[in-house]
Amino acid sequence: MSPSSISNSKTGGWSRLRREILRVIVVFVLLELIARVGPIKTLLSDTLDPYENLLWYSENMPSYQDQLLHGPHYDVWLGGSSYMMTSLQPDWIKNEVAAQGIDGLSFQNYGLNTMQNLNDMAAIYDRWMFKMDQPQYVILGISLLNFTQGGRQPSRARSSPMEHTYIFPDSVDDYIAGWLFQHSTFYHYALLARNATFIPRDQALLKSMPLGGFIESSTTFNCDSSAWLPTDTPSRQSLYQDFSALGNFIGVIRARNIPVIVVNIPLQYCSMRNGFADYADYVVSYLKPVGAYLEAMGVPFLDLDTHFRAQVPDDQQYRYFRDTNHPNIEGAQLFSQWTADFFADWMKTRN
Amino acid sequence: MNFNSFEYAIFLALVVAIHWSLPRLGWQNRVLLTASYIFYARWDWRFLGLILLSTLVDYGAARAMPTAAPSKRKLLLAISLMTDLGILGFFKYFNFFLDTAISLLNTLGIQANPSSLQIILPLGISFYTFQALSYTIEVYRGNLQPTRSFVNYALFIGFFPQLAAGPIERAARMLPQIENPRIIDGERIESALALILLGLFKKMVIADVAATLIAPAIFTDPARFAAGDVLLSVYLFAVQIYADFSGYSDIARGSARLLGFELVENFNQPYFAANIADFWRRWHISLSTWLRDYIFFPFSRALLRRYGSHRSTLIQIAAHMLTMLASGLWHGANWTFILWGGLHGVYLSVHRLLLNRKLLPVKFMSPFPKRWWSILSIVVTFHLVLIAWVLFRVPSLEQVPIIYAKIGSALLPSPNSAINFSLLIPAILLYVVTLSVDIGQILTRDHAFTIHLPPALRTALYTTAILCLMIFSLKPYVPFIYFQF
Repeated sequence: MSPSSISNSKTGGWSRLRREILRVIVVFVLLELIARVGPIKTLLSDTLDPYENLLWYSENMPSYQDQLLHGPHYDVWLGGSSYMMTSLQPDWIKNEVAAQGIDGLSFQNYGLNTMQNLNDMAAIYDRWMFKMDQPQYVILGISLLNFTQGGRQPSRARSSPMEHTYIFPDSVDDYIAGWLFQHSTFYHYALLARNATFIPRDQALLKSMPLGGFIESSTTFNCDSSAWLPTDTPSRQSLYQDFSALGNFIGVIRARNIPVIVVNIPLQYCSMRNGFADYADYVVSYLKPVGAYLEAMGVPFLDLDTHFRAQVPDDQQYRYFRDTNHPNIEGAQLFSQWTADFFADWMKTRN
Repeated sequence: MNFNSFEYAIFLALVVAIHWSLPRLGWQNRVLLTASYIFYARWDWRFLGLILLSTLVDYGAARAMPTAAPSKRKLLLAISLMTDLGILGFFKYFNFFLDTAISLLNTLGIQANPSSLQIILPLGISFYTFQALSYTIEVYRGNLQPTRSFVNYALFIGFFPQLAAGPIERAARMLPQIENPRIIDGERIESALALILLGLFKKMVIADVAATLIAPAIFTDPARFAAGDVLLSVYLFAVQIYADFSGYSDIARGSARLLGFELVENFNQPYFAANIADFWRRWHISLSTWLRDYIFFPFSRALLRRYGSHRSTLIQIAAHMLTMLASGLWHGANWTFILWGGLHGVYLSVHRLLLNRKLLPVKFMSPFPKRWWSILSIVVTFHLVLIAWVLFRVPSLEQVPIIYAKIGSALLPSPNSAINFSLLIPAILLYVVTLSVDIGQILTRDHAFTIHLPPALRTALYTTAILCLMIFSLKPYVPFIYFQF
């Protein structure tokens, strides 16, 4: 037995192994070359490119990408999670701001759905969206629910193929698969072919999103507040007062010299009661601390809760919400108008 | 580090290259041990301490046994068993027994508060513990000389291809491979690569696609689903678990073969089993034989000594039941697994009774059945296994009667029942592919059956398999089912 224990005998099958590996490599090189031939590549592209849209965690992502790369350019981005996406209608804000004498600014809602985690949201803006285009201002919509346990869980985007390639590569596999996807035509279209086998092409086409991520809903949801018991235990309260993820997001925006303001999206009364004894408790436990945190950072803060509560009685608040936390069209009208007013006033002070 | 990842491919390639570049066996073994611990630490480095503790205690106990007095030998065995079973018991079964005890106390009217700990199950603990147990027991019995080298013993316990989910190797097979120079040649590399490719194909194309087709809530809330969908999902789970676990075993065996090791075959076309005893000779063979050697035989012998051979049928039934209940408990700390094992115990007992009363022929194991009743017996055996898989898959016992009722109603002709072709067609395709692989293995008598095919067909199969892996490589990864055990 040789010390290295590698058999060098001619009958050891080395030449057969070499031939076998070579044959497989040749087949794949040929397939790669064929996939790169002009007409074939065009055919593959025409047939399969839309299926890339399905590899994102949300259909909004490829539409945002398309807008950011090909225009139109927007001056003010409305950022945040689904609470913001149901609250701020960009055209209404634009018109209201223009009515107050600040004309010429365009607004777009670039909210990210199923995305309570502000750190993940910041990463998507930082590593992906800001690399394609940048606004002059950002209005960031937050909600109490961004600071609960759900806000600390990794978002769905972290387990999605395209986000793994472009935004959250966290393993050797992500880098290799991402490199192959971007540089190997055959691998690229082989991946896309999987969805093409099962999903009709029209379901993969890019969605036109003139209002960005804004979600319009006219339904109302009247939750029974008596069934929701306060659960304001000290441990739960402490969750609401960790705003470091918000600070991180603001830091990402400011790092590009983009001024930012923050708007707090209200909860309807019965939803607020799920975590707090009463409104005063909500103010002390959440609104004031988040306001103080933003003040310390020098970020203008609009507390829509106070406006909302002053205008709408507790038992009528449900009319402005589609579910426990997301405003409907009625709520969006109110919140867009108040946000526009606040933004216009802030712009005037800047000028 | 998942077997089905580029990271593992790079890791394996590096380990193989370094291993074979070293001129001395001792260095090769040290490299393999280091690589194995790196492999394990990539999952959770904190649990390396458990492997080291178990390894140190068992190595020390076994080393001292041959020269120790009988009473001291028993003590050494007890220390080894208590360490291994203590670690396994705490990490795998503590919460289960605590929760069961609390439920029992509450049923008896004694108030007890649940205070289960958040205990993480260390990867591979059930596998390496059983491997360690067999070593000290065999040394204690005098069937095996303990190894002098700590590195060699540690490698036997921690060898990375089989650390996470087996096969559960025996020292008598594995230690000689560690202690003697290993050899590699082109044929072995080709068959090893073929095995790895086959394992990846089974895992990523068959098992993961089957998993995707099964609605996530179908086993947790079956009442919401149509009877036909529940039935098809049970069929899909049967193919999923087979492809998943046998795929893992193929990758493990292929990886080990690249390093000059031959691991035991863990599966032998189990869905072609002609009866339930035959199934257990073909399914998770390394565990079945372990349970046979360390539970079934000792228990049967002890009972035979005590009660005599005139009660042999009863004794066999008792031994079958005990062995399969242990098998169920080994799989998981949940009553569903225990019932699954119990049901297989009943199957085996009934089979034994039928054999003893000569109502079944002793042997009809021909790989290709020649008579219609042989085919029928394969179909019946498969469906007995299928019925038991429900118990294996459900998260709790509440869903079991609902699923069985749904299966029953799906089998009854109903004018309203519509066939879900979006499940049925992929399910049929997955079975065709899986059974085709099995038939290829039966015909060639080799798990790496592709190496026996003509070159053109071989290349076509390899490229198709790699293409399928590309197409189905999209994240998120589905972890191997047996990693949870």
